[in-house]
Amino acid sequence: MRRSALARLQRTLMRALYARPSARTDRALDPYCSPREGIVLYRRMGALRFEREVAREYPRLRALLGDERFAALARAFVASRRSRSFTLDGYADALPRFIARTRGSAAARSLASFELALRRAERADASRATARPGALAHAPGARVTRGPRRTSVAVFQREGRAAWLDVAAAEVPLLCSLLRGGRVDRAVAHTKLSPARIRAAFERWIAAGLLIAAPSLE
Amino acid sequence: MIRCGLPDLGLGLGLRAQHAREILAHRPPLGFLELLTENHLREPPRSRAQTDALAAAYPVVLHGVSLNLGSVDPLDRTYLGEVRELAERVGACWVSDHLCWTGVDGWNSHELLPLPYTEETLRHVARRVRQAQDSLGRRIALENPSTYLAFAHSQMPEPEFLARLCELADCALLLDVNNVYVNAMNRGGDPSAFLAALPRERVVQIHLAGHSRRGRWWIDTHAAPVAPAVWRLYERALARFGPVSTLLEWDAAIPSLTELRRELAKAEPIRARVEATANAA
Repeated sequence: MRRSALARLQRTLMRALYARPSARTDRALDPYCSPREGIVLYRRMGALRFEREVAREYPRLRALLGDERFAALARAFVASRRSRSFTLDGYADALPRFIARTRGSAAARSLASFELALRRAERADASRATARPGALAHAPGARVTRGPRRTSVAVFQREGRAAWLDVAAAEVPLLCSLLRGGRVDRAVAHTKLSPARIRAAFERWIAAGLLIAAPSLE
Repeated sequence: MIRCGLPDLGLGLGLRAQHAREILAHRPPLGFLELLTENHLREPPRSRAQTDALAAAYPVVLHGVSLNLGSVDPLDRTYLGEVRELAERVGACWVSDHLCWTGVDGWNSHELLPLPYTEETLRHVARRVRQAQDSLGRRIALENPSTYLAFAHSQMPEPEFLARLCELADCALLLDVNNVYVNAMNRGGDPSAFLAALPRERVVQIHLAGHSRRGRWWIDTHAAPVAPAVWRLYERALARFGPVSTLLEWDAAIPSLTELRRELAKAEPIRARVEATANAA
């Protein structure tokens, strides 16, 4: 068997196992493989592996939708997405976009985005918590997103774990500006919040570990 | 006994996330820990610190599923680089993966797919094993996989393929006794003859695991205690290969650490019995 024949066999087998099953791909394997039920077994094991990964990454979404609806969503997602990485980490990151594309509910999309933000915060590199002059350093992976109650939350890494805290709608522009690395004086100058409210917000964010106090702020 | 320059580490457990803290807190006596390579690449900082602490407390080996040695795709140099870095960081005693392919054209199935055992496949895999070993800077151990398909054009039995691969690529073997048993049940064949055909000096590790029945299939689920027939086969393997680092794998419906250790401890009297017999002889 020449290597090109091995390549042909592998491509045919991949299609038979993971693309939409068809009599044509199954027939193409007949001269090679036995038993035929083995194909069906691999097909099911493969799908289950990916579906389990989606379930592992989105436990809150599963609780929201219920097992049956979540399983249908995971099956549809897995059928539409191939893994191109040597690890399954990040395989299910596209689920919020998939929900949006397939016109899933806004609540489901929002919760999926929140769970994705939590995972990204947990994976964030803690060694990169530095700030430019005039800006404040912030916790690794910090970003503002929609929370489980569909209000704004800041998600970030604290002591190696993902954490989040509620952010009032009026405070979102100020916090986003700071998390983008904007200078504190400019962010403060552009906000419509009162000085007292700005101070209270800073104190809350610093106490939570979201912002890291710089000497200039003290 | 040293085989392929690698020591007998005794009895070990596959590390699973839910047991890591307990192992670190209580330091149970274990010969070694096997880390699933992909779980420890690109780890979040907190898990990374935990992995390093475990590696400082126990001898560790790495067991991967993504080398994709049988594929016609080029080897993934990024993956190899990250595995090498991880192996060096945790001081891995050895690195293992499977005799299989997992994808083609950049598409990863994350399944351990079977290969046809032909002369051409043998040369193809041997070349890639040598390349992988060069990249990793060490000899690797290859595991015999559980497979649910056979290829009509295979030209040799699996143990002959493995034995010749070890010679051509100068690699080691990780013998999964449960896979030998499951494959024999699904497709026929004599597990003892399988063991007899493997080169004694190349087997550096043995895997033990549980399997499940699904209709006509015996599935390598790693979700149950080791079956009595697999324990008997393990005893025959030790009689043939001598004392070899032995690891218990459990990946689904994972029990408590205490229960895992109890299951692993069943290997102790078997090792003792085989050693006594060997000494008497």
